[in-house]
Amino acid sequence: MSAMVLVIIAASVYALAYRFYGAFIAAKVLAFDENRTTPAYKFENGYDYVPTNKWVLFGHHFAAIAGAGPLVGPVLAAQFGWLPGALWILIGAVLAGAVHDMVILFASVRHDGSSIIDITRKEVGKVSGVATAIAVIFILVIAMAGLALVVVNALYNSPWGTFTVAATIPIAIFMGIYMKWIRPDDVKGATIIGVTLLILSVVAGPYIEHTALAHYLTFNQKEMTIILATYGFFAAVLPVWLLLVPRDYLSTYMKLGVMLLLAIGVIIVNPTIRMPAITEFVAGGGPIISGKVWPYVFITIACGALSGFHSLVSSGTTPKMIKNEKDILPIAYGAMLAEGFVAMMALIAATSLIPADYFAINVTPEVFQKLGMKVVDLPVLSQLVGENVAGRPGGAVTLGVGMTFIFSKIPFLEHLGAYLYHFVILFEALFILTTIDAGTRIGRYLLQEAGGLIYRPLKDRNWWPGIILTSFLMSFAWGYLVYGGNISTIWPLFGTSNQLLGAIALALGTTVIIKKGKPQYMWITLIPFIFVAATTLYAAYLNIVTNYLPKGNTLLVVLSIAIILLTIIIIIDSAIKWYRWLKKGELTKEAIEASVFN
Amino acid sequence: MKITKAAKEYILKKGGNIYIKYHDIQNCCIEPNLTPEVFIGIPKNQEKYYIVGVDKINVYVDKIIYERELENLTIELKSILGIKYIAINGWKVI
Repeated sequence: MSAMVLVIIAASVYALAYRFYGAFIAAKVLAFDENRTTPAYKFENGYDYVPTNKWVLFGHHFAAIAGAGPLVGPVLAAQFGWLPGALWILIGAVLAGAVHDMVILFASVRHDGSSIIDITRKEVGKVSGVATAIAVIFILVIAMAGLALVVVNALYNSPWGTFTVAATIPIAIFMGIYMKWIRPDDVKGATIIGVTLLILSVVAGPYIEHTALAHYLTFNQKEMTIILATYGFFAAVLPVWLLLVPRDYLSTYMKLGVMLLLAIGVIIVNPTIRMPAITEFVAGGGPIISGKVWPYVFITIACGALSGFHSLVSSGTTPKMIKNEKDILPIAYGAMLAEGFVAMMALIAATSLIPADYFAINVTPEVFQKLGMKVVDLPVLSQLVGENVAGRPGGAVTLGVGMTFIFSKIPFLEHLGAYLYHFVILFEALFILTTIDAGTRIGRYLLQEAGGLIYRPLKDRNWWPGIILTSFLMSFAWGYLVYGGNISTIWPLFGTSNQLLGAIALALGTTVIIKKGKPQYMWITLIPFIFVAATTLYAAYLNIVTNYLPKGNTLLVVLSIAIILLTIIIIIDSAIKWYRWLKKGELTKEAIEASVFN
Repeated sequence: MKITKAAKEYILKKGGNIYIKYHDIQNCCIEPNLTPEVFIGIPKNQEKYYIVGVDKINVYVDKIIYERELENLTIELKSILGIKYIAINGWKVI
């Protein structure tokens, strides 16, 4: 099948959904009030509360929600064939993901830009508020492990890849020093220098590969995990301006560049989809994700269909910049659909590979041998990208190979395959490392807060023994998960925790609609909530009994149970409130009129 | 906002101006709320800051930070390997 068919279907479905379903929710359910003063004007301070042009804010919001997620998940889910992933990306984005993002953004705008934790505490109650806060911390550790694993699998035994990614550390530090001392706040100049140096590092890769340095840049998976965790430790300790901030500038530009490149490549080349619509693995026993298509496709593809992490962005910076409530539709609903489109492009890139080649990349050589498949283009592809790409699960490598394969069809670009591949790997690694930098640091703060309750000096954010201990504990926590896990154990946990956060946010969305006095429309969030909560809780249960317990992975069992319990607490607390409000009449007309949602 | 005695003496010796900068990081999967950083001197883009006077010291505060959030903050003098620097404490992550 031609990839263009999927591109046209996705574009048509999303356009119709935006025009009709999105507009219906905006007008009838949430009833955006274009005359209402938004927090951006109410608290305008020229910095975070800034009334912003809707298209500029669309770009900001899109950059914040779309990262490695929409690229990695669809690639892994391609093991079920192209159809399950494509359907979930289409239907999930329209009925669940975009609704989720829009309702939470609306709720946050009406709550003056408050976070999902604060809104839950105020609208549902203290129990749910505390449970949401704890769930967010757990999910943070799991997210870092899931993303770090992608980097480990892309960089092990790859001196070229390791060199380019390692080069970003001194480049970012130089940019930090440039913006701090050489030309203070010259973000544009620093970015131009940084991007130029990054491209040079990709170009220098093949030369490095043939020098004595290559030996010192070649690591196995375990060594790479330790290096990444050690890096996370230092990133959490170093000043923010020195590494984290400049790296963030670099990754934002590269992210948009790679996504644009992918969309252009797919549209120009129009590759053939070679993966069957449905593979035998829909019934379970897949080599990448061992479970059945239901529930696993729904937790493997999160960003691109529905992602709970978006609720953190929709109740973070974006609500503080909304100029007019009617902009919520293009910014929240529109950006989520755009992310769905990116996820579809990633699915196309993966499924345009010959299935045997796809599986050879995404499983270990031992597992691949058991599949009884024979690689077709893999040796050529390995030559094309300048790396042995077999046995590198995690999605990043498949995406890089798929993109390179597509672009190699364009005249003049066929000789640049290796550079393009390493550029894509660099992009994913750079982006993920920014998440690790920020996540480990945030985790460190939280541990210091919690530890301070037991031993007071720990609370001091500048007490070096405390900084070192908590940074170590945090990087050790996610590093340990990566060290002892693999893509089949960590990615399902990552997907589960992300989707359970999505379920929590959809439950809050239902509360918002009820408190708005429109219970007749609560199905808009209630149906996706029930589906996502049931699917994900079932997946979490399956993870425990079929994946973690047989492998004796107690830590993952404990983490899974903790997240399940927190979600159940929030669901029960919300359901009790809904019952009281709707059946016992505890939500009075006066309370509805006084609600911030009206 | 509080400034410890040692920090106050150090800042006054360095000119009596400090600025507190908040770093807004965009990221997928997390929405980081990082502790702001404090530096000696006057910021380059003063229009992005408002000024607060604390114990004869001019504190330029990033406009992203509310004045009410300053109440919990303490500026302290720290040192590592004999190098002195000022640091901020008390920022609420959640």
